[in-house]
Amino acid sequence: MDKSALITGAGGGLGRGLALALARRGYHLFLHGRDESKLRALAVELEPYSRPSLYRADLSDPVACSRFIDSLLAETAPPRLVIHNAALMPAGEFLTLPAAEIESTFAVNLLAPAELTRRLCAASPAPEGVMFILSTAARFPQPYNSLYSASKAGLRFLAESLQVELAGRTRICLAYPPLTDTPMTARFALPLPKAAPLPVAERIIRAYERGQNEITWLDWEIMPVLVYRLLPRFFRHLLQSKREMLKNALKHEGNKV
Amino acid sequence: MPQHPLAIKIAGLGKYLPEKIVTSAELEEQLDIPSGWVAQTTGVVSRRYASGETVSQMATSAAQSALCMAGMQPSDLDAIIGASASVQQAIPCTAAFVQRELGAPDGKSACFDINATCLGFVFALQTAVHLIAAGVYKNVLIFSSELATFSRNPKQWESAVLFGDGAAAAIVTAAQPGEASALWHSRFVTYSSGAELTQLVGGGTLHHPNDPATTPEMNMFDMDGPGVFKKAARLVPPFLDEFSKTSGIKNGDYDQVIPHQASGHGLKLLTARFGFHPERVFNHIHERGNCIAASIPLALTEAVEAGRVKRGDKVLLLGTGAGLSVGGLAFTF
Repeated sequence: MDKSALITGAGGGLGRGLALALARRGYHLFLHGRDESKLRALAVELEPYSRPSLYRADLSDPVACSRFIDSLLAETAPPRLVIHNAALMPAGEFLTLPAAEIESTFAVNLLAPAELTRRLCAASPAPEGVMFILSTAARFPQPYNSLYSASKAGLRFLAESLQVELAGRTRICLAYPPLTDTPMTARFALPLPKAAPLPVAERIIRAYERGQNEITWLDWEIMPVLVYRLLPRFFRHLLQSKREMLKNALKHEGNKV
Repeated sequence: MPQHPLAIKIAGLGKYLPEKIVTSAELEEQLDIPSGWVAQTTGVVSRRYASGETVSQMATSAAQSALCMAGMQPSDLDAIIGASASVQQAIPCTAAFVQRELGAPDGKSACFDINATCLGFVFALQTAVHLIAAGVYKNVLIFSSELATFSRNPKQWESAVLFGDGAAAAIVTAAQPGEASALWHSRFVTYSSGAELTQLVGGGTLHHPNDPATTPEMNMFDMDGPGVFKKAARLVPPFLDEFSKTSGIKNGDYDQVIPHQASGHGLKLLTARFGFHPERVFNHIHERGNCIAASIPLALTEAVEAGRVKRGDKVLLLGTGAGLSVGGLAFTF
């Protein structure tokens, strides 16, 4: 198999965009999602380019996650490119978040990519590339989006560690897409510009093809990243002063991605 | 005359679905079938295929969920009934393997299989209900677990694309005083004139696997789809008339009808006639396919998950199976 890719969380948003971008380039796709009907609809969209293999699994359940990997590996050698895209974002005040969401957010955002990477990279032939879809939430702390921010930061450090450990074997790529207009971010009244998912996905794939292993955007989000790095105390002060605004914008309305 | 209801309930339901989704478009490409034919002919848009799971693993997983819903432990079971067309091996019964994989204690439960293909689960439910009512068993696990993909005949399009893999399980026990759950009526009839309409001739003693005259085709599923449809369409109406007369329940009185997901056309026929409320006939064949014996319990489990069947609802399980058998079971969930 020359060009093949696995995308988790492919049912909508950025995952769907990544699937379209790769399908147009002739990749055979293995698509994972939680909503069977969305996956089927995407398969129909992809028909002119390729016929994807579809998997439904709830990655917040470690048993289901491991079964998903079993059935993937029963069908194919590890895909050449693995994209960890699935994520949950249960934003809102930490103390009001349902207990189960701590577990499910870390399971989907951090444990599932870790386990998938472990199993796929241990198999032979190991994937050529593993891409971690991160977020600016992995580059500076985001109050009222604490679980997402913490799990993405964890994922970033996992990816950066593997970059060294797997060097020469599997290429590890970190993508930091900007705030994108997807089902995940749709319910938040953030007074911030959101990028369209298809161009973001296209750019990620183009950068990957160019050999970039850290894909970032030079937009307004670079400001908080820089301030956090250079002036951490001032950054904290800034967040404190915008607390009410953040709290209202990231009100918890159920963890639906 | 209405039967005396038996105070028995389905205390737990569970399912197992393989992660792999196979769309009809994929199968059309694999089997060289014209595009769009599968959905049009069978009503199936996608189904799940197992990749490496065994029949007993799938059954055990479904049984664990069912036990969890019932609030029971494997050690609470005193009977395990396998009701699948797919068996793990010829001997012993699959139920024995499920006892072990489930961690149900050795020697604590009686294990046996009932095979009536698509109607297997409903036959087993009828059996369990009456054995519980008679005081033979207290807590019975029934499972149906199907790996249909093994016996697909790629040359027989209609059956090759119709089936899906999956498992479902139910815990049956006596209803507590004050609970509405009950079995109202159950009835099965077999028309052996239709025995050859649906068959898998290999695997038995007539065409033994070691017999050199046994061909690979004989070990594949063989179905005269239009023949089954025609015969069933003729037999089901009088069956339902008789069922409603004996049970005293009119077809329109059911809160939910869970038919065997035999085929898209079969379900359409059932929904259009017979006086059932079309919105109360459960239909998920488009994304599950026909899961043989697991079809009815899987549909029931998903109907409960979707909130379409609630405690106290009157439900009719209805189906046909190889034989050709027609059967129904009316109960309050």
